[in-house]
Amino acid sequence: MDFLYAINHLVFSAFMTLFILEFGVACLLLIDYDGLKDKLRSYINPIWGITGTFAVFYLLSTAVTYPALMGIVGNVFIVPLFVVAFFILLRNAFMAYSEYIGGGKNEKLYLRFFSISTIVIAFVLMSTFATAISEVGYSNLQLDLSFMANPYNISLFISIALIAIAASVLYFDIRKSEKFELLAAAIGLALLIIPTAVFAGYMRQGIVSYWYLIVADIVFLAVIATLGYFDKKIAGPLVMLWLFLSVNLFCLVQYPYLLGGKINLVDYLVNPATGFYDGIVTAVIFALLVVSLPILMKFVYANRRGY
Amino acid sequence: MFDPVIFDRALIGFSLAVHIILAVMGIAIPVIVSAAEFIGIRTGNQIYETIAKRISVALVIFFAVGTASGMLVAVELFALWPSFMVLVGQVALLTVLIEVGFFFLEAVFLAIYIYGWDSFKNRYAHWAMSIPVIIGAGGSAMMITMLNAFMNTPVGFNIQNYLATGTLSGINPLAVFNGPSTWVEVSHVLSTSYFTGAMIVAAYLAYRMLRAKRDSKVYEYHAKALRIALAISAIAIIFTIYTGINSITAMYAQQPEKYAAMEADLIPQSHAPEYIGGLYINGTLQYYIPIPDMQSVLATGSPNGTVPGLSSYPQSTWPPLIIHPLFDLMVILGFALGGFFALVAILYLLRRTPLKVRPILWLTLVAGSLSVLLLEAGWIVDELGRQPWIIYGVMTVNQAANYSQSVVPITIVLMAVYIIVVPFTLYVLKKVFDGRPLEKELR
Repeated sequence: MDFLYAINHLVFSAFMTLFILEFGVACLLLIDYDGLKDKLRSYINPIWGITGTFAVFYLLSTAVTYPALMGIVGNVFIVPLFVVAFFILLRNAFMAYSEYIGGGKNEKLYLRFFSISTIVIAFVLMSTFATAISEVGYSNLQLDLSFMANPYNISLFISIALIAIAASVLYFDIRKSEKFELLAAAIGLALLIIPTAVFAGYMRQGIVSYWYLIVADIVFLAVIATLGYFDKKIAGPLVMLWLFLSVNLFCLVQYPYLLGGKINLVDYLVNPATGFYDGIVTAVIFALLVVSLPILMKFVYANRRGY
Repeated sequence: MFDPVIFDRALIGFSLAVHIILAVMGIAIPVIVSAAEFIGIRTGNQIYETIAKRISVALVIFFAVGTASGMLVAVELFALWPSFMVLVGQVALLTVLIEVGFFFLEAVFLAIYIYGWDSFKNRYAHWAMSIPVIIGAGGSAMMITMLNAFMNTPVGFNIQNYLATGTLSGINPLAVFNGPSTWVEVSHVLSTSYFTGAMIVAAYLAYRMLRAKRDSKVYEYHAKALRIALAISAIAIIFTIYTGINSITAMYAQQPEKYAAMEADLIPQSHAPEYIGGLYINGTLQYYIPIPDMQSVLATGSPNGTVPGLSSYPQSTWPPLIIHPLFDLMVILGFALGGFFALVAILYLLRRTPLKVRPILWLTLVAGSLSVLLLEAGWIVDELGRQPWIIYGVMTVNQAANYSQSVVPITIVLMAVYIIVVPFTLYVLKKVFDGRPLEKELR
């Protein structure tokens, strides 16, 4: 059964990698639309569709891995789940509109809406994850408004936003921002310490247990930032790998508890008969995606036509 | 305080009613696009490539909105029916997981197909990219329908033990792929999806032909595309009728309450007449036309055959009796659409050019609209007919529902969103095509 939750973590990591990069794109489009639009747009189309599907894949992967948890998820997180779904609907719609009825002011307006929708999704998702881990804003199977407006959640959101921007700058090789990316990444990582330190005692334990992986992760980022600084193209793909590994490391550190340690995920695992097939199917889909995504990206970007 | 279950039902019902229209478009359009490109390559006629290119733009927009709408439905399943998801997650969610795999297949190859249009030197290689899109779209529908079949005829666990103790045992997660109603439902849903999706496109094309100047290239473009859409619909309607009859026969054996409510049978009887029309008023069926023995013959193959009646079951498990007129509507629409295709076929035999006859184009427009009504009626009959169960004989809708008051504002907001997004999507499609004059592309 270890295999099952490991696969679930991989799916989560892949989703977050794509989403964080998209979050960075959304921020950059608001920061410097005219300067970056062409470059960022050519990435985001058609990857936004894959990111959205990955969100559902993760939700389903979680449902098949921990079906008994769905009662709590459905009841407690009903409002954030719908807010996210609602803004995904807007994000998809505005991206499609900008692609086909764009041009000039309309395109700018639609992409602004896309960016704002994506940032709202990021904020609600971060808040939900923060509460699911820390229990802040949760009591008696209910959420109160403090689940979104608390200093831990806000610092987590800002830190992820800065990391997302830094990663996007590196990935898209935005030369004029070469120092900014280092600064953003450094502040983002520094800020990340605040929610992590406050979240829950069990996470501190995880950090102690996996300190060497955390150090390796930071060193890896430093190497990527240096490569980016010296204009090495490899920095772009490596930053994606770093995001993927970092999210996976985060999963490793916080597993197997949720809600401040009140929930032990092991108690909610699916029955072994179903789990066996769920694990295989999830792994096969994931493997096929890992193979097909780079092919798709290479193919589409190499042969982009003005569709 | 409102009853949240009413809002749970309203939201999922409304969302699915909208989503299935987007879904059938997403299932049928890839076949039309693929067929058009294939004919274009074989004949060397550029018009067919233009058809494939232009309709694929609509496909992308429907895919984008359909993806978001599907995501919303997925979230609704988790949030509105948490107890249902707990049970399904242990027994039958493998289908939905595989559905995501099919969906990825569709998304990846659709991106290659659309964005890589000009990069394939071998046009057959480009055309081949449409095949995984077709498989992905159809496969998704197949997997979701398997879950629906599980809801109608649950399998894969010890039901008696679950009802007695509330614990799941004897779990076989593969049983969901071959349950008693699985393949009957899958075949019916797929055939109706291809039929309805292609008919919607056909209706649009007929409308454009009615507005276009005869003998112009634009007219020819729409005529060629209409031929493809109608050919797909014609093949699909044959399967729709065949699989529809199979569905009713299977229902007779597997969901007798649903069958009895559909046929307005209050008591079990042999020599049962087929009731055309009729409404239950004060417990009796009124305003109907009976066809003697017909129902027994259709259901059992013999006039002596006995059909089930609702009186054999506790009234608390009766489906809403409104499904009888809806079932009648479905059958009448099915016959009407069958008649439309028979007429087109006869005209083909007589004149060979029925699509140049303006009344036929008007009829195509009407038939496309009726096909949507048929789809919705069929879906409502299936879902309402299972009430009060969410999983037949195992879990009621009330047992599965989310009782949070948060559901109330969420339902209102999301229904408003659907009401805005769908017409706006159509508006966007219009703008897209207005911005790409067909005359210019056909030059």
